[in-house]
Amino acid sequence: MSVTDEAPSFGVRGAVHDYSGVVVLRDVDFELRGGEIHALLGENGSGKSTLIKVLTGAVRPTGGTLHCDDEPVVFPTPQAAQAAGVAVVYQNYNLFPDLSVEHNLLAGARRPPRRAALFGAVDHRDWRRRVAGLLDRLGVHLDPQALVGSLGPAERKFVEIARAMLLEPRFLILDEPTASLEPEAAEQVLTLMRTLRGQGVGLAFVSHRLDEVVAVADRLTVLRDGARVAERRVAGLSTPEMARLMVGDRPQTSARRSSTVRPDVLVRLRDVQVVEGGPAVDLEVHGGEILALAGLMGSGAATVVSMLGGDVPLRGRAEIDGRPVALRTARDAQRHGIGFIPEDRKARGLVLGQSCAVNISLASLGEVARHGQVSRRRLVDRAEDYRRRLDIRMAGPEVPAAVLSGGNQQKVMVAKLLASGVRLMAVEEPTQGVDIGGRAQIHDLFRDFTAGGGAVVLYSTDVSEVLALADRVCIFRHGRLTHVRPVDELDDHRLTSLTSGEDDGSRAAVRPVRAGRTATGSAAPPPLARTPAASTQGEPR
Amino acid sequence: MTLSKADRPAAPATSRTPEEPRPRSSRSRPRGELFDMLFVPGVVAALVVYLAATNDNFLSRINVTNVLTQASILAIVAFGMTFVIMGRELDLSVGTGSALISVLGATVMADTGSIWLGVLVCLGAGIVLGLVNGAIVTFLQVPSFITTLGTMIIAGAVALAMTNGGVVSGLPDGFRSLSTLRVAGLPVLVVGTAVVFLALWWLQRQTVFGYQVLAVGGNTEAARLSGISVSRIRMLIFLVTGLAAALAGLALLVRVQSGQPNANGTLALEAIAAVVVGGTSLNGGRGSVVRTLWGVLLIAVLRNGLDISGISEDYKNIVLGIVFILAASVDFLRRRLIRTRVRTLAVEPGGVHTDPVAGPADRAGPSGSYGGTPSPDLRTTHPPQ
Repeated sequence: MSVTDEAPSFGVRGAVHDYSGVVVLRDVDFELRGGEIHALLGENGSGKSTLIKVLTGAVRPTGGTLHCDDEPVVFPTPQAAQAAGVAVVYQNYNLFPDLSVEHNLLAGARRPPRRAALFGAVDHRDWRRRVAGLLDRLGVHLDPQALVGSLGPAERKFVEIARAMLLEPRFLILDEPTASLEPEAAEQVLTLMRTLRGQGVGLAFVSHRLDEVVAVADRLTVLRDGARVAERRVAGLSTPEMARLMVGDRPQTSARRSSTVRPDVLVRLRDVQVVEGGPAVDLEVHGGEILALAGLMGSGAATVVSMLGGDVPLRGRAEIDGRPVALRTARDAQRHGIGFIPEDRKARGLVLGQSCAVNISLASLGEVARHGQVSRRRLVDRAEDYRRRLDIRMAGPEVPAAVLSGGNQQKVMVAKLLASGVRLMAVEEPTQGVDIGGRAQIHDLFRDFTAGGGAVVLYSTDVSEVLALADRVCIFRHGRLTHVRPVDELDDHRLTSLTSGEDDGSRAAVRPVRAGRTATGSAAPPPLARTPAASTQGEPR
Repeated sequence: MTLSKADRPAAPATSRTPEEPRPRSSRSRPRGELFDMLFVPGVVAALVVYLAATNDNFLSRINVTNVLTQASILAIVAFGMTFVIMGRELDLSVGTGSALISVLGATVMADTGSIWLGVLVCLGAGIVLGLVNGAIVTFLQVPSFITTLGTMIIAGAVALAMTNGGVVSGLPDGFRSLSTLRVAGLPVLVVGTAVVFLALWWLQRQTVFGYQVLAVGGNTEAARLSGISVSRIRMLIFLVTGLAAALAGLALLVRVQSGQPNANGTLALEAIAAVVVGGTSLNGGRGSVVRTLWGVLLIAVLRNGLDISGISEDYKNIVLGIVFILAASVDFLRRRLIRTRVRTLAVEPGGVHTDPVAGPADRAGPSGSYGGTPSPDLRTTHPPQ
């Protein structure tokens, strides 16, 4: 450990923070060293965000001291933290989609190059050179003149990280850098993190994907209820152990139940062109079944779910109970008993400013109304009913949906579909951004729904979720339905290799990050060798 | 806006599950809402008290009647406009539209001598105006600001072309008597406006349509994915303002007893001002007809107060302009107050955090340009439990 002891360090000792008397951090120690990747784990509400705010000067803790290289420091503002060499990349994108990469970076620049001859106008040529240099140093292949709006999600994350790196920080804090990324894109971001580690930057990151932590992190700190419950080296820890540390004694995975699949076909899709001009795909969904569609980005698995839900018009034919139906709009789908839960529930699922009661009845306002006149009491009673049945934690049916946590918002979405009496739920990423406890509850809701004869068709990039929830899995690749397997025939490894298409040898093996350790170990060697310091840490003692 | 998501308060610790509702939320929210609801009425009341105390004539029967009559046209249009704004659209065409409708109505009544035919033509013209606006916005996807700017210009030009710039008089005697008719001691215009208010209040507050308008304005995608026909709602909200323009045209006819091609040039903008002053959000998804009523009353009382104080028309408009801006900034200040509160309530959200009250414009800047530390105001607004 001698190498790391001399390495720069930054952190906080005995951090205590309370919001008007409500304690959110209790005597938390956190230390980040140069050249390491340090994972920060904890359920939603465990204090991670506050800790990040404390570390980046967004919040001044009630107690405790920040220290940088063993010198105590105080960050009255985020700018002070930046000046001390601590940068942060927030979870949501703060980019300007209509500007190019270099102009996005210019917006975050402290002292952009100027030309006196042009009365201090920005020297764009010099700036472009600097941006190109920076991107090169990060090992990111991006055209500085490309519009950010035309970039993929991983590339946008690169731009955000590049913007943070403009300030040449020694420590970089990333809040869920891979949260909304598909496995391949997430892997690219992890690669960039490894590159930065190789350059001696100390990285702290928050992730709900534990296999990512195994794949990149050297150390981890776990918070639970505002207190630090563990600080360990990652080597030798398994994901179930991490989950146990985060959750404590609460059951973390929902137990599989016996299947309730019925023989009758509820929905049959025929000759569906998943990608334009692609091959025809047929699909059957039985009553009582949870069908998972799996595939990489662009495989078409997600498209089928959104077609079924009426989000995009169906290219093909659909039959419900053997009768042909048109599925062009969400209205069509709704009329035929299909409800849709989009991936981005805040932007597309909920009317955040409206009450939970209104959101729950949004798809079925007619049922709380008589002759077009809404009964406020029935609206609220109904919300109370679902609150009880689905265990939705909210202060009351009248609070706006915006103040609920991710898991409870998702329950509101499920309640909305239940209230509108759907028979089939088409769900994208059922538990993205939901903590482990909420996740198990939402899984149970789907199982209860199918036990009653309904069907769920879901798309999830989370392999463990697919395996925990599905009865059957349809695997898509390049717009083609390549395999349909009962879940019993699949495991982590098998599913990831089927989705990435290793088995037919037609493509270079690209393993999604879900495969965890083996992905970095065998399939694709990390582009950059670890630094000596990091590799010492990476080995078990 | 990472700043605004305060971590979940963990006290009193241990037994809590992570998604426990914030205990204070049920108490502190209504406080914000109460302020929200009572602010404009409070200002109106204060203004009335002040004017009544300083001017003997203010509360006289004739002045009160006068205020209400003068406010009626603005009120009718503003009530309709509330729906458009709640649905996150705008309708600029109601002003010149209502002038055109008054010309059409007056022409038909003068030519045929039939009041009912005139009224029908007015309503029909309003429906056509609304459907044209709605169809262009919905099917050609032209922003409503541009669409209705175009129809505003066209309607004004048609009205002038029909009359060569003059007024259309010669209305039937039966219609003429309406200008002096009183119902329950109030001019028929005031009573009519009250009826329009009740009808639109019912439509907004009590019907499925009203909820759907708020849903479409609050989150169009969520509304669409919930099976709400967004096109239908858009058509209908422009139909509401079209009909409001028709009623405003009729009201104009009753008041001045002639078709006026040049009237109501700034009516649409005043109506938008009244809606916003009342507290309906221009960002859509929030507001009510009741708020608009208070906004209209504020403008009407203020205008009357300035009138009876003998301030000239020009200075009066300067004051009104300042009041509009102040009212809009009060809305901002109030949202800040509520946001501070939500900040303490918000559980750390899992996905992308969207600030419940603030628009995307006040997202934190790229390199942490979010202002200041929240803790001091958090403490002042929330005493420890």
